[in-house]
Amino acid sequence: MKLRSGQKEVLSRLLEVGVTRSAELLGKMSRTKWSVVASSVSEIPVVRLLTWFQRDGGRYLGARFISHDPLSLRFLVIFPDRSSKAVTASVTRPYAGKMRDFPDIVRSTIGEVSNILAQGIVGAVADEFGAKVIFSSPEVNDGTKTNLFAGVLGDYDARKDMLMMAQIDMCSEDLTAECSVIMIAGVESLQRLLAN
Amino acid sequence: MAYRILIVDDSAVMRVMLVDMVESLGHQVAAQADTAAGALKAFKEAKPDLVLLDVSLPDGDGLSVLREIRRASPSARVIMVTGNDQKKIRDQAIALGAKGVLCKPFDIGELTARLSQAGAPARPA
Repeated sequence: MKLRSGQKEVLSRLLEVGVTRSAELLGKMSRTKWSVVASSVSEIPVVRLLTWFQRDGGRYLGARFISHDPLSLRFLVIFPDRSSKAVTASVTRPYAGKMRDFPDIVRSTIGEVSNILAQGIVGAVADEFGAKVIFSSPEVNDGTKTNLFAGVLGDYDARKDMLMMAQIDMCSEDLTAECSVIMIAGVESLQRLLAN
Repeated sequence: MAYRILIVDDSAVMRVMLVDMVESLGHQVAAQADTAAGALKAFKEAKPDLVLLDVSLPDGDGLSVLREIRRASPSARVIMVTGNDQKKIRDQAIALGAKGVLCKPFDIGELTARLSQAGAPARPA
């Protein structure tokens, strides 16, 4: 089962709206300008997605979120190790004195930043279809991209499920930082929503 | 008079930021919670004047907590604090009796405006 070209266009338009909003939100949080470097929508079998990033052995911090009915979505927001520290320092600077001995400050900050980033995108989709999408609390892990993706795709069937993956890459020149926001949805679930 | 405020957010970093803002506005933090169950317990025990309540919580959602709080105390003042800037969530929060919705990320001016909208004095004595 595949998305029709009209459905892909609707999805791309909504993602563009959401991505612009997310870049603004990230800019407000980190007090610096963020730009969208690349944005893409692909349909891809689970098994291929799991091998997609195998060549990238870098370490990343990834925050994942899951939503269920009416729209089952997975979000993974990935920051390279150095970028996660730069973003955390920028976001928490006004509260640095109170957070000096804060345990896991980078994980906690990246979890919150990622939540707000993902919400910018999902808000555009939810409002378009009059839906309410509430995410789980963020689960933040470190690892390679392949490890982080495996955690998100756990309950999809690698042999038969077809996924829609939207990937948005953003960067901040001032912070020399970058991140990727990845939204994954089952094609069948998405088609039900787009048919409304 | 300063308000005693209950802060509910699963993010420890966000709670530090909220505590800092609330105290710098001259209000008091009555209690903090990071779960839906913790929020309901803290509401009963601390009897706050106002609740700043996150929508996404690890053991439920803030809208359900809002419903429970308003059922237990129909005059409770609750402001939803959320990254979920979705029309349906906003409408549902207001329909359930929230005094306002504060979208993350926000600054102290936006928090002041929402607190004022909920009846909290801008510069408590």
